[in-house]
Amino acid sequence: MLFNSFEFLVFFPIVTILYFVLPHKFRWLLLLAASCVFYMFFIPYYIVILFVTIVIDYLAGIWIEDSQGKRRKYYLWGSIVSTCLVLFIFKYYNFFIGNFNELAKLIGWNYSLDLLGIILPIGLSFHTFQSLSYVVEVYRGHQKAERHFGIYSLYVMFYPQLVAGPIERPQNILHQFYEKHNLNYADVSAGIKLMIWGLFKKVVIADNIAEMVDIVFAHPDQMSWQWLLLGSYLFAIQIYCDFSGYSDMAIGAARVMGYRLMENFNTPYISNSIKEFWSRWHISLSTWFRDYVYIPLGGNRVPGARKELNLLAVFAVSGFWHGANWTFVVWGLLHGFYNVLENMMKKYNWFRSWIETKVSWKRTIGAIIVFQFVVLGWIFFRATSIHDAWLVIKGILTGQHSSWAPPEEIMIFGYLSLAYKLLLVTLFMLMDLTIHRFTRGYYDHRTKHWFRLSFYAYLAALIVLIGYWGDVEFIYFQF
Amino acid sequence: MTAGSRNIVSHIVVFSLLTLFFYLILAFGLNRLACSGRRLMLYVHPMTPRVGGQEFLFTRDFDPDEQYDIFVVGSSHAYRGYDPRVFQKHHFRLFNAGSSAQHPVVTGLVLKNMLPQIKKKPFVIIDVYDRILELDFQESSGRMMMNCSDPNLAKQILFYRLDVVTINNFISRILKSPDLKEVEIKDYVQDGYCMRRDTLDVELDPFTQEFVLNLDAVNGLETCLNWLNMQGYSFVLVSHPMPKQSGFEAYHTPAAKVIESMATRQGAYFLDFTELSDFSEHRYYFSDETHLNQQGVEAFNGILLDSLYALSVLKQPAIP
Repeated sequence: MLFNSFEFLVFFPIVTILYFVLPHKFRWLLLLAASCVFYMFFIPYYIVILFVTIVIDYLAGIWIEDSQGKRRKYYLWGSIVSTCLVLFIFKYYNFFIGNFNELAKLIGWNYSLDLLGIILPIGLSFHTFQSLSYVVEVYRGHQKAERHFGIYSLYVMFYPQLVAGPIERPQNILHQFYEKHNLNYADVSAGIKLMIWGLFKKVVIADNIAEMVDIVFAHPDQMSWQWLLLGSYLFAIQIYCDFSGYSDMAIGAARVMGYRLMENFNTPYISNSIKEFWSRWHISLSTWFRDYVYIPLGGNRVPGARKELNLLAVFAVSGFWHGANWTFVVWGLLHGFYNVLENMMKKYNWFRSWIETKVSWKRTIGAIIVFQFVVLGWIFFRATSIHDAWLVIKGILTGQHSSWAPPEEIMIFGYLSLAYKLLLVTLFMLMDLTIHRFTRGYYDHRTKHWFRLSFYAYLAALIVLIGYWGDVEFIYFQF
Repeated sequence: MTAGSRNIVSHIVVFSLLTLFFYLILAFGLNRLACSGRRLMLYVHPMTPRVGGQEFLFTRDFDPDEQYDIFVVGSSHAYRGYDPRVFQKHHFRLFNAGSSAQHPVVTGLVLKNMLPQIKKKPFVIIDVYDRILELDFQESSGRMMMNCSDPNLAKQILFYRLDVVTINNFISRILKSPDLKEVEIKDYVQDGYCMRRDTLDVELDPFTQEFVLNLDAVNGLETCLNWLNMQGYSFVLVSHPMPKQSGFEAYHTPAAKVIESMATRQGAYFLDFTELSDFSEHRYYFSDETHLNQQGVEAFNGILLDSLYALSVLKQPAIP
């Protein structure tokens, strides 16, 4: 089920009302059943895969807690390997076999392995990482093993964040399933505000520019450099609105029922450095990699070169997490390289003072520069192959087919339509920080209640009237 | 109900009313204000169906008092492939209720809405171009809802699929200016028929598209045939000739199989002229890679009538 679907519009109020009507002891059961229904809207029988990973990590958690010495480590690794194996089979098997076959062809070895005819289960990477987070935290002693199978299942399957995060930590969410949440105006209001803003970002902004981005990236060799550049900028905004929109809706849907999920985006495009960007973009994933990969590899404690190498490795793995394609690996490596470069530059005082500055004009210039580097990465992220990404970059750098005239396929919408879309995007970028804070209640004390109510009602009307409705999935669902 | 929950409910009610207020204001403005002959709505949401076009013309020209002998439904193949003037020469009064990319569900709604208005039951021709089994409901229903002259048909589409897009289209239909025309069809002739005079003058590339069945469309067609049977209408499924194109057979065969088996189940004939030899090879019968031109229509309509007589599904009228 998609958040931007009519089904969800019916599903969400029914589940929420039932949640508050039911006695506390049955609520976990309702949420679990609702989560199963939500998941089974995609490919119903894939719930079996989810069940298998839940059982493995549930038992592993208990066994780790109940054992001593090396056994604990064996259970931990057993759980990590088996969970990752599921991820490998469904997400990466075809990628490796495809590459193997290509390599075999290249060296003239007439042998090819068959690919599996499987579809990637929706949100597999997200709930796999959430499960791994649990077993590692139990192993580290930061979290007690969950003995209630239903509650543990809910930890993995909680429908608002099941398919695209935020990737929660057990310490933050598990105890909330035991707490009694009463119907509360502050939570309902805050949750609905976030859901409206998230939905606006998705159906009004992201989906509105998606078709232009698709056209530009479909035939990069035929586009003018101006449109390749514009298409790349637009994709940066599309992916941000798409994914942060989903996260806001997820956080909002949980908040209405009194659950607090972690913040996943914090206006990343105002970042003055790459490091800052990663502290604002997909926060739940970047902190996951920090806590469970980077720090165990030695973190900042290891000597300089090793530290930078670890950084590169972590970003490469993070890229690969996003998808089984070399484009994602390059995207990850590129960000790893940016981080390494930034660390190296920090020995210069002028650079350090620049990225740590609080002066707004300096921060604005810094944000514009950082944004260019981020957009370069997005080209690899969006392109279907490294070759296509290279065509985009080459096209921009060589001033390919120089023309400001929109491509023919874009012109079918007309100049006015195009102007409207670009105006919408520009306004959004200029107001993102203000509205982000507004939706988080920063300005509640400075604004009238009727103004806030009218603002969200206006957004809701725009969503219904000019939003893109239909089977438009979220970009991050494929991961 | 506690004071807290009363507070929440009252806020939700106020919020909903405010949303409705803003929605109506915005919908009115975007549908009433126009720029370069188009509503602003089309600029902010290009997927919005345009006002005018085939759906407007054929529903305008439909006269329930007229005794139609043959009633044609289907996609652009229907409204460009069956000329009432040719049939008139054979003493049949034909009405063409085809519309662009007409989804089988919309076809069903058109039939259910229009056929009962005709006093004597006409013979029904359903043009079943392969692509109708792949079509999207929303595009077809949106255009029909926006433009059909009969408000009942618009309401039936609305209640068939009550979703955000359909509701928006319905509201646009109500709010649009009555004299606005955003689409002009220059080649419209009469009784729902549009004529093409141009000739296919390019060599066709090999056909590479794969046939992807849309279950919604298949079920819609089956329901439609079922209804015709239950109401006692005689009908036939027809696929008109297409220009010869290498690779097309691989696309056409699975679609034809689905239609053939459906026709067999419903006890109807499926007359598949898609790859009619001696016809498909002549490019001067076609205006593009899928549509017949006037020459092609005249030739094809004659062939069709002969086939219908031969199968005895249509009786040759006694010449007065």
